[in-house]
Parts: sequence; C-alpha cells; structure tokens
Amino acid sequence: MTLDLSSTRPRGSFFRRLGRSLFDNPVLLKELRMGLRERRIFIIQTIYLILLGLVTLIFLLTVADQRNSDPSALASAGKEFFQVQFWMQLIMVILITPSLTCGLLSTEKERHSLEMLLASRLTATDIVLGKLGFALCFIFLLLFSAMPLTALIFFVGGVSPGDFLKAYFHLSIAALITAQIGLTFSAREGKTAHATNQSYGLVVLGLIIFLIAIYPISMVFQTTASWWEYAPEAILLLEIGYLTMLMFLKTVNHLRPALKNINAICLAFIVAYLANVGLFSYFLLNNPIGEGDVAAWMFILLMHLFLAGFFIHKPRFITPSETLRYRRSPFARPIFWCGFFALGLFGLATACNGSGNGIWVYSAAGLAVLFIFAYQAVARCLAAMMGPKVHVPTIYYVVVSTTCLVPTFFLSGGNTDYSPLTGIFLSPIIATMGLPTDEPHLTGGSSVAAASVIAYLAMVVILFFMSRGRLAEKPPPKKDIA
Amino acid sequence: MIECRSLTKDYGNHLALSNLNLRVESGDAFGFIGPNGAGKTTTIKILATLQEPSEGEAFVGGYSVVDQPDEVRRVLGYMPDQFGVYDGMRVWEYLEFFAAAYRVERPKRRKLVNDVLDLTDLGKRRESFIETLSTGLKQRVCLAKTLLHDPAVLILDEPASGLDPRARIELKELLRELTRMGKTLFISSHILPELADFCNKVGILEKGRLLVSGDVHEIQAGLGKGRMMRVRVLREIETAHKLVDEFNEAHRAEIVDGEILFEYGGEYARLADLTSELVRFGLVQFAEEKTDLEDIFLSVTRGDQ
Repeated sequence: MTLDLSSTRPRGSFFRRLGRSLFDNPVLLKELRMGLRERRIFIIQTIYLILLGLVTLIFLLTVADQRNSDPSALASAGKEFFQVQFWMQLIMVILITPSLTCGLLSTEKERHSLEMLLASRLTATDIVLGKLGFALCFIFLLLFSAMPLTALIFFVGGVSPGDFLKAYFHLSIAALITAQIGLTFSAREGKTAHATNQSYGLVVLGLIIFLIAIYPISMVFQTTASWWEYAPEAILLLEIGYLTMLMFLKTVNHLRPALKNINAICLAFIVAYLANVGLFSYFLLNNPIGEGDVAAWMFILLMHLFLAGFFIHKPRFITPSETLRYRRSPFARPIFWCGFFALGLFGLATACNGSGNGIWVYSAAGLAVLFIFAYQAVARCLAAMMGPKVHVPTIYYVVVSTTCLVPTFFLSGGNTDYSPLTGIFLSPIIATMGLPTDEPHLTGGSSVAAASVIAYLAMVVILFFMSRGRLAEKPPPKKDIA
Repeated sequence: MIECRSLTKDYGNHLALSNLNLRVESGDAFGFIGPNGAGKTTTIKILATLQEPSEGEAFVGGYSVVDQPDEVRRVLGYMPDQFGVYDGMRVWEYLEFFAAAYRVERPKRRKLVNDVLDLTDLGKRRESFIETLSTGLKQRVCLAKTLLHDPAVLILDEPASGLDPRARIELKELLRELTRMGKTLFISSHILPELADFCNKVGILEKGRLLVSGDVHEIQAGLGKGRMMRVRVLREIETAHKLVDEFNEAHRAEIVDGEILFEYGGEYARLADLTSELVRFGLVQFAEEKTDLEDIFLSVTRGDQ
C-alpha cells in the first residue's frame, strides 16, 4: 500500500472550501446512505403523505358537491384550503425536522465516533453542513413527494403559482431553522434525549414568539409605500436567516471551540443588532409613530437582550495559544467594546441636543445599543465579584429579567411612583418608551434617556470598582496532584 | 517524529499533564505506559489535535499541533480507545467514507480501500455490515481506517483492550508488520506484555508526570537493574552456579527449576568469557530473559502512595 501524500487535496480558497463542504461532503453522503437505509425515514414519509392525502381527499369531496356553484366561491374555498394545507405542512415540518437533527451529533458522541471525524481532515463546518444537508434533503424529499397532492389546488383555483412557490419557500425556511435548532442542541448536549427535549422546547417557544412577532412587525409596515409590501416578510426572513447563521456558528464552535468562531458569532450578532436598530430608527424617523411601532421596537430590543445572553456571553473565551494567535482580534481587546459604547452615547447625545419627533427614536436607538454593553459589563462585574463558580449567562439573565420585570410590577395598576428606587431608569422597556410627559420631574423622552444613561454608567462604574480587586487577584496556584 | 516540550494540560480543578517532555524518533515503536488516569489519553488527544495544551507545545512530523493542526492530521493516523463504527454501513463504505474524510482524491479511493483491506486481512469481509463483525474485526476495521491516508505516524490508544487472546495476537502481528513498513508507532496501553514484544522504547507516565522514558535496556540500567540471564547445564549445576556467582558482573545468581538465573550488568564481550567457561559443564542453553516491563513499571511507579 503506497500513497503519495501530495495526492491529498490542498485546502484551497474560502469559496473552494465552501463549495467542497456543500457539494463534495463525505458526511452528507454517509448520512444519506445510512439515513435512507433506516425504516424510520419511510415511516415518517408515509404518515406525512397519508395525513396530507386524507385532508386533500376530504376537501375534494367537499368541492365535488359544489362543482356547479359560483366559480369565485370555488376559488375562495380553494384559497382557504391552500392555507389549511400550508399550516398543516408547516406544523408537520416543524415537528419532524428537529427529530431528524437532534440526534445527529449527540449520537456521534455517544458512539465515540465524533473524535475520529474531528481527527480527520474534515473541518467542523464540513461536519455540521453535512448533517444539516441530510436533514434538509429529507425534508425537501417530503415536500416534493407531497407536491402532487398540494398541486391539486390548481384544479380548483384561487391560488397562483407564485403563492404556491412562496408557500414552499416558507416551508423550506421553517425546515432550515428547525433543523439548525436541533443540530445546535445536538452539538451542545452529550445525550440525544437531552438534545431532543431542549430542541422541541425551543421550537415551541420560537413558534409562540413568531406568532406574537408577526403582528407588531406587520403593524409597523402597514402604512408604507407599495414597494414595501413584502417588507415584514423580508425582515422576518432576514431575522430567521441571521438566527440560523448564529446557531450554525455556535454549533461549529461546540464541535471545535476557537476564538475565530466566537468572534464571528459576536460580530454577526452585533452587526445584525445594529442593523435592526438602524432599520427601525430609519423607518420610524420617516413615518408617523404608531402604537405598533413601540411594540415592534420593544420586541426587537427584548429579543436581542435575551439572545445576547446565549450568543455573546463568552466574547473573551480564549485558550493560551489562541491569545497569542488572536491578540489583534477586536473581541480580545476592550477597544471594540469602547467603540460600541461610544456609538450608543452618540445616539443619546443626538437625542438630548435635538428636538422634534425624532428624539424618541434617537434616544431609543442609543439606549438600545447601550443596553447590550451595559448588561454585559454589569453581568461580568457581578460574576467576578461572586467568584469563579458563577456563570456569567446566569447573572446576565437574572439582571435582564429583574430590570424588565420589577419596574413593570411597580408601575402596574396606575402607580405613578417614578423614583429611582423603583428601577424604572434601568428598565429597557420603559427607558426606550419614555415616561409620560406629565411627570413633574421629567420633561419627556430625552430626559428619561439621559437618566437611564446616568443610572447605567453609575452602575457599571461602581460595579467595576467593586469587582476590580477580585479581577486583579491572581488565581490561586493549582494544586499539583502529582 | 513526535516531540512534546513542557506539555501541560490543566482542566481547572485537575492537572492532567505536568511539564511533559518526550521525543519519539522516526521508525520507533513507542509504548506509552501508565495506570488509569495517568494522562495517557490526554497526551494522545493533544497529539491528535483534539485538545489544546494549557502550556507547552507538541509536534508531530515536525508540525505544531496547535498552529498547524491540518498538517498534523495529514501525517497522523489516530485510533481512539473507544472507537465508534456506524451501523448500517458496509466495511468498504466505512473505509471509503474515511478516505474521503482524509481528502483522498475520488479516483484513488477504491484502490486504496482494497489495499488496506488486504493489509489488514479483511478482504473477505468487504461487503459485510459493520455491526455484524466481532469486536476483533471491528478493531481491525478501525485500524484499516487509520491507515487509509498512509500516515507516517500512528497513534493507537489502548488498541488491544476488549480483545480475546487470538485477536490480540493477530493485532500484535499487524502492528509488527507496520513497524517493518517504517511507521512510527505511539501506543498507549496498560497491558504491558502486549507492548513488551515490539516496542523498542517506552515512556512511563503517572499522575500527569513522565517518570521515565527511553530504550527499555537503558531504563533498566538506569534503575540499577541488569539483564536477566537464564543458563541450563547438563552436569555439575552446583559448581556452575558457584562459577557464575563468583563472576564479577553477575549478581543474585540462583538455581530455579534446574536452571541458573542471574542478573548481568556488564558488557556482552565479558558475557562471552562466561559462556566459554560454562561449556565444560555441558551448556545447552544460555538465553537472555525478555525484558519484564511489569517489573520496570512497578519499580518506577508509586501507585496510590
């Protein structure tokens, strides 16, 4: 047996590697080969088609009774049926996809084969893309096999080919994000049962959030020009896209932790967050502010505050070798966070010096940027004070929940106690909304923003000085067990 | 071929490796010995680029495991202690998958798979599903997978654990064949007899520290132990024993089961003189006892003390 090592292929450029990961991926081929030999796959497909077929049959029998009726009524029935069929497929896709992916990486761990894959020349990206590709291939197979049933709608009318394709596009997007959720937990957990529980928990929670979010986002764009007709949809898809990307990076990082992955996660998160803030600010400045705008704004802010705890709680996680390798990385140095902080202050300064309708938007945008920084800083300082056994994300979520819920509790039932002790200036919800202008001590949104900034700055500075002693302490010498 | 410089791995509350310095030359068969929890698997995982060291550096084939992991994976074949095989795959499919994973070009994969199947004597099992194979055969498939990209260095973590005696002997033969092919072997085990046969160097690790490393005979000499010699004569065994006992370089001579056993700490040239002296007693056997790794291991390690 002889093999010249030069016959193994070079790594090549980024695009070449990406192309290879997508189209010449041994993991994908292996999963397809093994997966399609499993009986489970055919059982799922059979049940899927039987359920869809039954619903279609019932509809066709109903329509057959109305075949001599008004064509427009027939088209209307067709449209309604198409929606029923879409939601039915959506729920089935959402329920089936995590079951395909949540065991893909955890079973590799359970059978001790993941190490062999990682010791080969496959990258973590190759492995994740291969697994994701398998799940999507199967879901696409399901969707395509159901197409003859769903296409029967064209005999009845009421649905254009565009609507039909759009529905399939939405189903594919739903499959993509649910597959990625399953894969993320599969990489994170050592046992498939744990990964399954967490995946389904998040999928159900995500579905609820989606149903809540769709209303305020639609409200924001209902007054816009005609070319913005698809804006809510486009934004929702963009949000799903970037969440999928973040989870993909997180999965890759679970398999092979590296600062470059964490940097990519942080960068993607912050860019997306700023883009969200910027997009809404731009839109709100150019349109009358309505009730839905505030709801959408608060939703975006709160979602990102919670997501930040999951995605960017380790911006300085580095091994000693990575410290040397990535010492010029923006996340390994405080200058990045200072720049981020300055951006928030700039938005607030603009708000405090300006006048008119834009003030609310500027102050809210500035605070929105500042909140991420402030919460990260506060959580880190508190965690440092509490010692090494406390996790930063836990502290982060406690702080976020407290500052969001406590002031709401104080202000419930028409209570007008706006004193600093109630914590209203620390609340992301209230600070970005602005307090009622009839409050005697305050003069509108800009004052609330200024008070919030002062409150946060003071809190960060005090906590920093309180935790500095602890941070400066040298870790105790490790006990040499030998 | 393999070099560790001040390698340390600290898990926070547990120091798994402490300042490990090790050098394995090209073509060596290095036995990495130690009790459970000594740090063998941690060292191997660092060398296989699966973990990063807390301090120090390691090189495989001249490439740094931290800075050039992909190059290391190109020259390294790694067989973990608990290997996973995929159910529902045939032997050739499994091997072809790993050939692709090691980025072997598609046209060469089929031939390469056939070559390693022949080398590991698995040709007849080519079409078998992996789950139907015995543990010994699965181990062979895993070793075949490790050889696919023709690595210069093979790191095998407990390769014989869980194998029956026959499978163990067959594996030993296979490993011997690999050393003949010029591969550098780095084998971790706590079953010492399996290493004693073909490892020319050993390293003994305990509680994260390398206690001793090098040629087996050198270690023995360093420990103040000579080579064990076994002599069988046809007549006057008592007189022959007295002669051996009075020989300067021979120590602790004793008669056991009609044979004279003694520890020899001198040059081979002097040993020839002793042999010629013993011929007059009807010398029929003069042999060096195989190195007793267990003895060295027990002398070097301290156990739980």
